Amino acid sequence: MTEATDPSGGMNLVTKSAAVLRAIAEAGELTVSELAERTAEPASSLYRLLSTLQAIGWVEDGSRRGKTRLGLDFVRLGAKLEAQLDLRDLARPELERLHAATGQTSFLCIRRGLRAVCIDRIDGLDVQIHNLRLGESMPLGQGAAPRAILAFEIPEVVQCYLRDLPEDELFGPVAHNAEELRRLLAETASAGVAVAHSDWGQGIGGVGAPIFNHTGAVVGALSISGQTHRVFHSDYDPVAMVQSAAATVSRALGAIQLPEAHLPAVESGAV
Amino acid sequence: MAAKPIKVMANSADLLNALADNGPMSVVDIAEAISMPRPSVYRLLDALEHVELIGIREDGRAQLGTQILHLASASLQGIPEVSAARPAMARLNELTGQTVYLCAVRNQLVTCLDWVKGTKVTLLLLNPGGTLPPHAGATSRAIMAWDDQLRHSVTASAPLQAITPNTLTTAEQVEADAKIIRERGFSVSDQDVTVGVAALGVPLFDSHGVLRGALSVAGLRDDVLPRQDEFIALLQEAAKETAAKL
Repeated sequence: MTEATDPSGGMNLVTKSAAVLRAIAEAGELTVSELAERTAEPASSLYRLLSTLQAIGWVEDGSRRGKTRLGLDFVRLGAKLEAQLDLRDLARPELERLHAATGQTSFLCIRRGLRAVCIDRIDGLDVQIHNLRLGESMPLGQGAAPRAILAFEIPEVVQCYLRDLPEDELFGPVAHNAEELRRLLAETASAGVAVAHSDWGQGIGGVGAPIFNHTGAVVGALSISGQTHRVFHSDYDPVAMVQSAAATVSRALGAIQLPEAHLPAVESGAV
Repeated sequence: MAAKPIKVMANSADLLNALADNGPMSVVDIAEAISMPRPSVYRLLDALEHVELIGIREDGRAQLGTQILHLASASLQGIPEVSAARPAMARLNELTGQTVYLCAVRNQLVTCLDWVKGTKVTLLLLNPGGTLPPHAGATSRAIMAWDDQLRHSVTASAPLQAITPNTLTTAEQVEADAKIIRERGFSVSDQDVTVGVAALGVPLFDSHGVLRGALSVAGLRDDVLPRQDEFIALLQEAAKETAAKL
């Protein structure tokens, strides 16, 4: 029990190490004196710390003599963590919360090719939505959740969508041609949320918000759908609720950027 | 006194590795996995959670923290090959639907620097940060065909480990394979790493003609081998585009 001599048990070293890692992550690679400047630690203690961090694989020699960069070990750890982060697990509590608060049908969708697949859903209390049952899919341009995904996809996906799908699949009741769809996607991208007062036909509307991962890429969407008057004229704010649920899932996936900071796919994607 | 801080960091690394291998773990499991008394585990978890290297779930178990993802991205950004290859890799994946790998030699092993996962299957044997021996796999063999030094050190240690019955094991096989790869410009890995999985690889040279690594397209054998000509053309185009940025 040597730790009794130091009340922190050497734990301040963990904090210092994390500060060093963050500084290197921001800069790419740093010399000891650059690191000393950024962390306010004396160079002498940084030398010791870096040799320890190198021994455990957290940092390695950089491209030039005297420079240190992050170790490839983090790439391995990151890949393992990514494999462990299951979107459905992370989204389930939010899906349940949305359903409990709104009583509407709640969906979790991901992109597969040019379609959005429903990978989880909870049925609404007053109407049953027949579209997008578990495992079923819709073209990305139709419905709130699919459109929330498409609006934040890379421009190539939007281009492929407009090029590769047969005309009768491309557009829903809300957008009737490519131009309308592009406008709708631009609106969705700048609002950070897809709002459809009547998307799937008479009287059915919904709200969908994108879920992002740590790289800022869209990985899916949460949405609610139901009778338009129920979704939009109740004592809750459907847009804020869906957005906040999606943001919670994004945070659990390591996302730091909010949708506003994301470059809308359509603006740069105009052919 | 000098040895102890190092021990704390070594324990931290052991803890992160255990969480990477096992997924979320309870304090009891961690104490056992890294041979540490429970009170110390609590203190270590506290310190690591504070800097977001781990996270504590609602069920009380620890898991790797999301900060790890940002450090992984930053680590990749520090590698010139990765940023140079990324757009080409994304396009290869979009066009083939298969897993796309970027690998390079680190410490005599072929290390996966980056990948884009296939739409149909996730290949489990090679992940970013993971390694393959130089004699197995499409990227490995493409690299070894042009890296004489690496190939000589590999053939010197033959017989090589057979990962599957198709793995090259003798020095003669490795030399013959390298010759064919140099002649036609690409490697074909047919179930020499994982039974049922095939891959096609091309070397990655920079604009000075220096070998920097290799790119490959990998997937289920029946999805990859029948489309060999098409995939090779796409790979060569991707390698050319990447090389121009290096």
